[in-house]
Amino acid sequence: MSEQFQPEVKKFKWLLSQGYINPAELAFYSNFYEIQMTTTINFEGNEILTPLFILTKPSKFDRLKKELPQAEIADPYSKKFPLISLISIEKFVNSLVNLKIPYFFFTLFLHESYYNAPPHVHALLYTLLQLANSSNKYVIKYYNIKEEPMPVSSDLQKIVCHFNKMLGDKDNSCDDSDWWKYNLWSKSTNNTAVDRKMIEKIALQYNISPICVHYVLAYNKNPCHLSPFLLLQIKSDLSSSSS
Amino acid sequence: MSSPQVKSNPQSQVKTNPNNPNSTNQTNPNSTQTTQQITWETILKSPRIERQHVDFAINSAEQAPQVPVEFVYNQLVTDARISSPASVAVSGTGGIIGAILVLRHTISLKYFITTKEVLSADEKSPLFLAKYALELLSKKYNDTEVITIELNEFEKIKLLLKQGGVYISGLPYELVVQLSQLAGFGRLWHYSSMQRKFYVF
Repeated sequence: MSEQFQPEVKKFKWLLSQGYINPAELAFYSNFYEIQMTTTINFEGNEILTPLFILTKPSKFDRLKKELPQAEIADPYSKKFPLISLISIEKFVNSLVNLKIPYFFFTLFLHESYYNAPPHVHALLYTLLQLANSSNKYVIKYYNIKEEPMPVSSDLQKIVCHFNKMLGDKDNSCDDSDWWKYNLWSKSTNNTAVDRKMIEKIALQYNISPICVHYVLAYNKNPCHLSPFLLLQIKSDLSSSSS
Repeated sequence: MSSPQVKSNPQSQVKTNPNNPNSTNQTNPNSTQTTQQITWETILKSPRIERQHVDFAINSAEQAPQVPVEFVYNQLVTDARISSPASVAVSGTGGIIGAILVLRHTISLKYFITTKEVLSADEKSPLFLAKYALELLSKKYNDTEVITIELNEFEKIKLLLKQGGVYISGLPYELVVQLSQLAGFGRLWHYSSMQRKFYVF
């Protein structure tokens, strides 16, 4: 698009980022001005396409705004999703699964402030991204999110279920009741968050590696080829100890 | 703000437009200012714009006061650049004085915009004064093209925006809506006779 329409293109990008218009309306104006939403910025050594969501702890917002002056704090309540948005994982997840994010093509960058996030957080993000990208609705490029298996018996499954339904899978009979009551960080309310002492106790009891126990309890996976009897026994021990 | 004074002819008590012989003695009979000296100051304060105001304003456009300009979205959009008007609407009585004042803000004037209704207005029509002003302006600025615009002429709107800013006061409301839908920040100029300033949207 010629530079003569830069004010128009800037205006419509701004209106979108502030939530005054939605992507469908932007598409209408794109008929006139061929508005390209994607530009690249350099962030932490990467050339990254915008719109960009930087998943970061709110305590790091100020620091990141200094590092990246174009970045602004996203506010899902007022539908404000700037082209470079700073947002916490929870707010991003809630916005994504409720289809509130006003972009179909965007980038997700997990900031280092979340690098100590437990595997199930990566698992949740990874699963949601796979669902989004296979839905023909979104194209989301992501950075620093590891492929982890999703815990089977977990409140997080309800989030995935809800996203599935929002994406149009109405036949899915999965349970998404109270899906928003998840807690990503507290181990006490999460079945998969088995503490280290419990894993070590079970590992010692059955003379197997703690890693094998961890996979069984956290992800319902059996990479160590434990016998089915032993698997049941381990799960039984866990449920009796937590009840 | 400068207020250039122009002396009226005490014999005729009416200012005439030397560029327009037809304008002689065409004073509105209801005019309350025929016996007063017309100045930019009196025009800006006048609640009603009449033909002799238009005559004076166009004749002394170069001496028109520099009216303040306010960018409406300056609190929200800090990096917007104001485009000087390249197109000036002359299409309703309410916008005529602003259309003349805005000429001082133009760098490269390309178009006078009007409507078919204005071009076909007869002397009894409320649009006639706009037609009259447009005729004078297009004679004075004879390298500026006069174009008409109608509803849903989006390509024309794009053409206008491509040239720069657009002064819109006096255009029919429906046209202003379409222009403002497509215009970027800093493109649209509106003159407020109450505030005596331009608002840029």
